[in-house]
Amino acid sequence: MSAGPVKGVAALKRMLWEENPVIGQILGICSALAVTNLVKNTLVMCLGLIFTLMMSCFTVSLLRNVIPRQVRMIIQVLVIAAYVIVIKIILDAYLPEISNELGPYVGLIITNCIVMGRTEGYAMNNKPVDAILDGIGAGIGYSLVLLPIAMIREPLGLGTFFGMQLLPTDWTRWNMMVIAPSGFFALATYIWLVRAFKAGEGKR
Amino acid sequence: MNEKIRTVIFTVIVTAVFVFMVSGVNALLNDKIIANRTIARQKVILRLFGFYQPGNNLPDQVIPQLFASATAKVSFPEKPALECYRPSQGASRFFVVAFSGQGFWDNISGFIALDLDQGKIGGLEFTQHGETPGLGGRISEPEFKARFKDKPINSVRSDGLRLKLVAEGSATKPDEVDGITGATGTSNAVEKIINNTITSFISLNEGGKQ
Repeated sequence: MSAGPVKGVAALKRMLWEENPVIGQILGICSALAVTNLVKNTLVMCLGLIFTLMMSCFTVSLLRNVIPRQVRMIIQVLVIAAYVIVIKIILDAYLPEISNELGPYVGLIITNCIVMGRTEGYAMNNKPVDAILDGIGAGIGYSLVLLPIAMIREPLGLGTFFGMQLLPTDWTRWNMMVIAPSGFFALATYIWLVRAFKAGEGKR
Repeated sequence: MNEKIRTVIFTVIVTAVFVFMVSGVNALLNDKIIANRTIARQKVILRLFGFYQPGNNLPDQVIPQLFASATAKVSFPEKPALECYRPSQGASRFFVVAFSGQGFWDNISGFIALDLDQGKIGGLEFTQHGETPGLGGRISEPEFKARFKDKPINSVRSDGLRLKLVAEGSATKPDEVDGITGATGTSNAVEKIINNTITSFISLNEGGKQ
């Protein structure tokens, strides 16, 4: 995508805006639609993804010179799956209610294309420190898209923010905002606005 | 050849390391996870009895004590596997009965409160289901569960059912309950499970006093 390897903090920064995994690469859409109707769940999901990305990218990067090429994808999936299961166990033990609400979506971090994309696309060819920064960047980039969407969907759909009553109780709830289709609209609108802004920026 | 063997050995070692890590974390936290599940079940039962409301913010640690003091287990010699509770105080015939049955996709299980004195349903909670989110999955919404509250259980309809799930919005008679539009399979499964549970529990209770 970009010319030459990107190192250090630059690897983190480009993931936030120029190469944001959700806006630029349209990855991780499934979970972006599913969990963004509650800010709390979204936050847990984002933290889970940042942790998974950071740890997976670090581990894969450490192993990058010894992984035989034929099995590299299998090893990446194995590493990702192991960390995700650890997250699921920790959530079950310490935040059982959130774990219950997130249901299968925590497990589905394994299949989140962002993680596989970063390990295969970056961590396999770069030093551990750069790989961690790249992973954290991708995770934060993902959060920067999901959190604003959740902050719009939850108040409009349920009248609450982070579980607390935000709008007056006689607020007519937009049931539409709670279910997945509104995720499509919100995400599409968000991507549209960001791309329109980027295009405007390019002209200057 | 050498390269192939190295690949196999590498894969086995990496797999072993990660399996060890995951099982280690699991072994460390398993007790806590089981305790959490027990508390979640006890909360459901206490809520059906009306001893616990989700809003009253009781700390989780007191739930097992409250459960032990407020409820008593009822066992039936004819059906030893049936999980059933009653309030430990008073002589009312108000029972919370566990149920389980095949849903549209996966098993649906939960608890139903049956008030035999007044002949009606006290409440309904699902603890586990695998129905389609947004369609059949709506059975776990409070609004759906509330449709069963205070429904009569003693009368049997001409079609052999005690309660019938009808098209959403068309329930008019007391023995009819609104089903879920777009989830006929789930509605039928819930209808079957609830009717079977009520019928078998009533016959158990008539057969002999616990």
